[in-house]
Amino acid sequence: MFVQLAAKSLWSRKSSVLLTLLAISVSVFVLLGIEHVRYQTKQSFSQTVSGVDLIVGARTGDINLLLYSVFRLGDATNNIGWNTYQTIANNDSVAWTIPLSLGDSHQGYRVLGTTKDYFTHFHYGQNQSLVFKEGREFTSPFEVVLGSEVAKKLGYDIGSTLVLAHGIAKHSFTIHKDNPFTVVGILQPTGTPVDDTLHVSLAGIEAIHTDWNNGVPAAHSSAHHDVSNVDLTPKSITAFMVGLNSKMATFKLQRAINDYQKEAVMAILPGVTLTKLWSMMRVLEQSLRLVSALVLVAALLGLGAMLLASMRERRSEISIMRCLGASPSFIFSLVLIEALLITFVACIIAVVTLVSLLGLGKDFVLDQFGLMLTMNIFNQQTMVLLTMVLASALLVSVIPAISAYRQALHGSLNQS
Amino acid sequence: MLLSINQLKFDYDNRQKSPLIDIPEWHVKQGEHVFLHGPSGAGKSTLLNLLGGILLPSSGDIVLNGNTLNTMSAKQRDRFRAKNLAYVFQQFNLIPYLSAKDNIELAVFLAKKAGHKTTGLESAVDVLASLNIPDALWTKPAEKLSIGQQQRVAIARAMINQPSLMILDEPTSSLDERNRDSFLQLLLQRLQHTSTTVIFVSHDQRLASFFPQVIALNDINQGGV
Repeated sequence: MFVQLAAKSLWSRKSSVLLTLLAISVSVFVLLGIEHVRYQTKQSFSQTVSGVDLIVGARTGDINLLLYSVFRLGDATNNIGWNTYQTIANNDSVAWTIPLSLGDSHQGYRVLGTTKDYFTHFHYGQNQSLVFKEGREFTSPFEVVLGSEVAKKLGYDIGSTLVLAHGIAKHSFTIHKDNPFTVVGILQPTGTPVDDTLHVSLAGIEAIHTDWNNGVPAAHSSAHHDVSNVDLTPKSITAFMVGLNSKMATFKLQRAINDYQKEAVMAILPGVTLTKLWSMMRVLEQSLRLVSALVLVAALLGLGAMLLASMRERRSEISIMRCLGASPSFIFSLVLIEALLITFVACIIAVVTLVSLLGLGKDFVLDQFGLMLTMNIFNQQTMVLLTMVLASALLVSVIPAISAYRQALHGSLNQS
Repeated sequence: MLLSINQLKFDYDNRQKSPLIDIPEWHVKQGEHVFLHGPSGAGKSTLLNLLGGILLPSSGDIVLNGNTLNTMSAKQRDRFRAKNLAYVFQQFNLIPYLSAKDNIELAVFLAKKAGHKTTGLESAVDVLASLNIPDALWTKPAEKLSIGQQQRVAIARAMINQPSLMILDEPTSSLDERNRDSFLQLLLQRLQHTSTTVIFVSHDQRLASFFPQVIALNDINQGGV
């Protein structure tokens, strides 16, 4: 009866209530939307790589190493020698390694030279493996496996041929046109930089650079040459990922790599560095949260003002309830319940709208921003936010509730 | 005795020398129907607020159904009002956005909340039907009913909790003569077989003929001079 009474009271003032409801719905939508995108971005960001214990590269900043090895952003300051890679890869505590060779591109997309171990050991998200949408791994030097985005945007299929460009500029003048690659596999979308990468074998990278000196092709090099008799063992790679037999060995191996005397190399823990990188974006994160919180505060103050303004026209209603034996605290609670009802319905509208829009727009977001958004917006943080919204609504409605209480306490029984 | 007033004094600014209400003694027996008349400003509404426990006497006692109102806590007075009292006013009797049925059920809800055990024996629709209110009106918002219809619903609501005391404050002032007479006949007919005490307050002395006991407020109230 109590909730029914509050609902009918609100319905009797539907115009002003509807506007308030709309304002709160929009603000809760913005708040939850921002929180969901932030959470998903962070999840996606922190799950770009999973199950890798160490990333090893030439000595540089830890964030720089993470950026170029995982996110394919920027360049390595130096390469590391193949012998160094092999020495570390053969360490007893190492279970597997994924060598990474960067430096070439195709129409603005980065080319990654690696081994088949990449498709076995590289994981992202919640320890998810790479899955082939079509085709298979590369088995010969001039085969390429495309990330989903590359295949989609450039319209490649299995059997398509393409040439790689030296360097990472979108329009390179140095094209490895004599060594076209054939697409043999296309990966499923991952929502990570893998989608924007062309994967070739280390031998393929080596093959297109035979006869190159100091980063430029030799003068006589023009014809498509036979590489079957050429040793395609790389002389250097850009970085490599390491999986260990036991997590206990992580710090010991990291220290050993950092103290390696023969070459200036370093090892980072990807999880730690990812967190460090994310924390650099905290100002932006907090600003977004602040703006959405202010929008919500404005809407809730509107709710308080609407309820307070209605108190004058509700004098006779309060008197009638008092005649029937309603206590001032009953009337106080009624106003609080009204505020809660409005806010609760607004939260439902916001959640339904957000989930519907996520359902409709997640493919667009993945396509345009490479961000994989789930439709499940419920996590600990959003539940806390929704609880805080309801608690704040209660808080702002205390003022009109006190006004109603005072009217009930001091008003006359007959307002005629 | 249902209502006993002893040495009751009240004034809004505590003017002890000439208070607005000064009733040395007044008693009303259970089941009595009293017509209380007085001019505007004589303190009728103030007296009703005192009887309802909304206002507290400056001095003296109001004993209703054996309970001294002025010694009760505010919460106890609210519960007492829900269980024992019913009001019908000139207008604004019903919560406008609730239907006739919901208005009555709210009274039952509040009485039950206050611990009234025998309320709700008769359903809201039974009471509405017994007062010849067409069922098409039961679910209509009260604000959509005519004043006459609203007054009848107000009686239905007043009766549902079988109150000890029913206070009617100028309930016929907004009605034309025909509706006024029909309202009074319906009211008194419904109250005929109950033990409810009625205090009917009005300035219109033509209504006195409907009541066995007629009292002028000025006769019992020495205040307001």
